[in-house]
Amino acid sequence: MGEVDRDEVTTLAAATTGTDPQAGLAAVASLRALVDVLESLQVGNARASGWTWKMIAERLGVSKQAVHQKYGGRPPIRRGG
Amino acid sequence: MFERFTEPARRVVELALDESDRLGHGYLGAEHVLAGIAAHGGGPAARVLREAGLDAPAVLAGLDQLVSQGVLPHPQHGAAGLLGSLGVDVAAVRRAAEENFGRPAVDEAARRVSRRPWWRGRGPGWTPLCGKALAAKQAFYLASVAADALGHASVGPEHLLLGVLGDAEAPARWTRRTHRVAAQLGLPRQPGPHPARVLLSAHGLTIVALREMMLAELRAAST
Repeated sequence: MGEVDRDEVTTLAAATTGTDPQAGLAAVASLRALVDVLESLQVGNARASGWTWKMIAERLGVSKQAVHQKYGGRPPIRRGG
Repeated sequence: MFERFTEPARRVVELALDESDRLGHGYLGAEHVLAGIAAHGGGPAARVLREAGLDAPAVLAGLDQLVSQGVLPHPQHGAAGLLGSLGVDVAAVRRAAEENFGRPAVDEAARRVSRRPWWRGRGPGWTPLCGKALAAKQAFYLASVAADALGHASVGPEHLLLGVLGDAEAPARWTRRTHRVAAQLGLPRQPGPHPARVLLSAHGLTIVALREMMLAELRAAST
């Protein structure tokens, strides 16, 4: 990461921990979307390894219906690459 | 979508992504593709642009002017910058995920999550692992339509230019998802004038005239 980029990040850090709602809310929304993708990957992996919806739901701290509604019905994302 | 692209056309897309980075945009638009064609500099498409007075520096200057006119957005804080402010390194997260699950799985997960329908708990429309939003999709589609119409098997920079012109002539309609992603990326809420069209008219060119020049060049090359 270049010098300029580091400066930009520092400024943004100030903006986010400061009072600029624009940057703060956008950062939180991005983080939530990122977590969503990681959850999707982990659930797909768990299903491919034979975990039941109930086991997955317990680890995620949600109901088994919730996780089934969100991820059921489609083949799990396979490990590849 | 890119399977049909020739090697120069892929290079043009890479250069277009570079241009989008330079302007600090979170999306890849038809105007970046136009800059990519000019920057690539090879083949009939770049020749036509040069003849029309649109060499690489002219296009770059034109895009900078569009930014100052407000037709194109100013540099934005990308998702990487925003998450960096929370202490999260998106590049590192992606690396770790790819190591564990492989790149295709990560791309597929990002795609599924971003497009998750409402009955599965509507997805965010765009995630930081999706890469740049593909605003130039219509231009790429029209490029392959142009290649079909000319009876060419693969899509080269010349077809990309025709695609950009077609997109400028009849821009893709914004769907509800387009509006959501635009809002998420901090872009204007409504589509403005097509940047490529504004750039051309600033140089005294029309879409029809430039398309005719491109087709004439292709006809001359084939005979």
